[in-house]
Amino acid sequence: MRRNSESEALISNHMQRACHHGEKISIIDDTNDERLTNSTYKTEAEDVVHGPRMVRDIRVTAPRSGLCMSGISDRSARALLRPWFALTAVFTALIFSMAPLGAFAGDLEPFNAVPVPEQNPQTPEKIELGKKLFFDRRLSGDGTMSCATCHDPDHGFSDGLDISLSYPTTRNWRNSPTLLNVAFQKYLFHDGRAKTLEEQALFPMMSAFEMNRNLDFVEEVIRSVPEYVDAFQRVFGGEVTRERMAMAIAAFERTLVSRNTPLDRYLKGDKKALSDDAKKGLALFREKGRCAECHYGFSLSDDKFYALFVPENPEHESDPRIDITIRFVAKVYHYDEYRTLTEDPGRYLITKDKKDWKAFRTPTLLDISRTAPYMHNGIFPTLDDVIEFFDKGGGKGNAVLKPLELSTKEKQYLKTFLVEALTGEPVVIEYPKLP
Amino acid sequence: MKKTMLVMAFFLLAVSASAEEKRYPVPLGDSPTLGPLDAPVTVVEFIDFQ
Amino acid sequence: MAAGPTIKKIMDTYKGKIRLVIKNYPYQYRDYSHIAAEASLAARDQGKYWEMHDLLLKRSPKLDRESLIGYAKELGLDTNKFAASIDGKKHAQEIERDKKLATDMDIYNTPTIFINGRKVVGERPFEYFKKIIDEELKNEKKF
Repeated sequence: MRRNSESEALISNHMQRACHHGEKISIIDDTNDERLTNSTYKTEAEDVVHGPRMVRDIRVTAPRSGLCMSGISDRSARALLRPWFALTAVFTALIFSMAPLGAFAGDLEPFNAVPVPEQNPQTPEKIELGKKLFFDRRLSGDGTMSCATCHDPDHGFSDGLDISLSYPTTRNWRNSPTLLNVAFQKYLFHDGRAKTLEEQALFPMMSAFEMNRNLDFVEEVIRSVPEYVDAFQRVFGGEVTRERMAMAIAAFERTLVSRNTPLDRYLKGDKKALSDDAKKGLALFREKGRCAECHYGFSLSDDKFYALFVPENPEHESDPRIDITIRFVAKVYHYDEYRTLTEDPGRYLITKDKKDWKAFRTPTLLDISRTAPYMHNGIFPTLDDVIEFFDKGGGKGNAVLKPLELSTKEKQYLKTFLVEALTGEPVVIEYPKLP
Repeated sequence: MKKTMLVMAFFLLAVSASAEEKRYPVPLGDSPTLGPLDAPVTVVEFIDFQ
Repeated sequence: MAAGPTIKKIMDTYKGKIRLVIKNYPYQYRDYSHIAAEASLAARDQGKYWEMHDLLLKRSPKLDRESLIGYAKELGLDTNKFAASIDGKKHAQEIERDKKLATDMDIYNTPTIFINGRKVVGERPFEYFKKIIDEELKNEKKF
């Protein structure tokens, strides 16, 4: 089981890499071979899947093409991975981290439209199908979990835990991120290992420590449910596939948006939308607090990665299951010393770039009052803790933040802004009836 | 005066916070039950023994 | 799936302050989920529901018919009556009623737990429940 999800992740990585470099993956459409017609991925280097170095040369054997779909759908993100763009990005990030006061502060923007990739247009039926899959525990290996277990509508589409419990007997290593406003993210996961929701949706399903479901198997499970078969036929004009499952789930997730926040109304011209205290908080957010240097745009995130060195979560020390997870992920991402790794290297695992050591994605701040606890490891139970952390200039040894020296009053204004101005209308979910 | 305003604001906040806590009514019927019937907290568990 | 040890700890910690109510929500894809629910209610008929409840959680997933009858014997139940009850699916209607309640309430997972109506989906650490229960007990004092 473990080996399977591992190799799937490797394949996924490989495909991603190939897609982003504009290479063609060698896909063998061997539908004549009976052993392959059941939608089975086979790697020719299967014997050496455990040997990280070999991955580059794995040829992917799949019965169907269209595997690059998710990668292609985000051109700008692809471009980012090309060397010269990457260089610029590194340079920008470098300047960013050294920039004095607010030089690159971004603008706050009111809601305009939800970005939807051309390859996966929204339709009401697709959204409904995605919603059913989202709540269906058939998607987990032992039928104990659905996406909604860790992304619970009642908890701001997070789970209220510092670190999710995940699949029975295993333990996640990070805080469950909210799904609110994921449609606006250019990178998914705290370490940005996926670039589209379509690509993201399959990861937790096949991840050994999340839903632990074999993807070949889950396709057959969903195909065994006539209502689903009909729905896929109606929505996609074809049969159930993992890619279409991901597309439907992504379509549903794009409906989860923090709408009509007081800040949004304020930015659209309603000057009464914010209280005086919140307005003071907004000024601090933009200026002295320097929050808007990274938290800007509609969803208040620059989609970049920073190493703020938040305190380690003591559970990483005390729960041996987390060690297993750390080593597993590190192994899958070809981290040489994975066997002795005890901490979370953050984005470094994905890029192997020193500047990304312990760097995590800037999260959205919309509806932040609904998504406690905070940071990638859920170490801060309240917004007061978060504000205190930033006021002190972040974690020890970080090169990103400087102390802010906010007064007690100023901290209060900032919190008022975060709670009052950024809370949208509750996203009301009409729960689906599952087949 | 300022103090009363503050207290009121706090109260409003507290009320709105608790209002957000969604509560689902669960009919108890004659299902197996343990502990005092008039206990201040009722825990209903939907269970699967396997 | 159930929150066995956690619920036990809650009941021990808050003795006399908590009422626990069990609803059956056996999953259609598990082999022994239904028969185990039948077994718990068959034991209830003989006045030993909670003993059986605890035993089932302890011995799960060994919940085949023979094992269940063994547990009944272990608890000193009339095994003939017990076997007739689970074989005849005597409590099917009750179980179906709970299942319908679960689907009507849009519950998709077990365990799903309601604490004074506040929903908790899936396994959670004791501290998580403790926080909610403490809040509920505090609220109760206010009114």
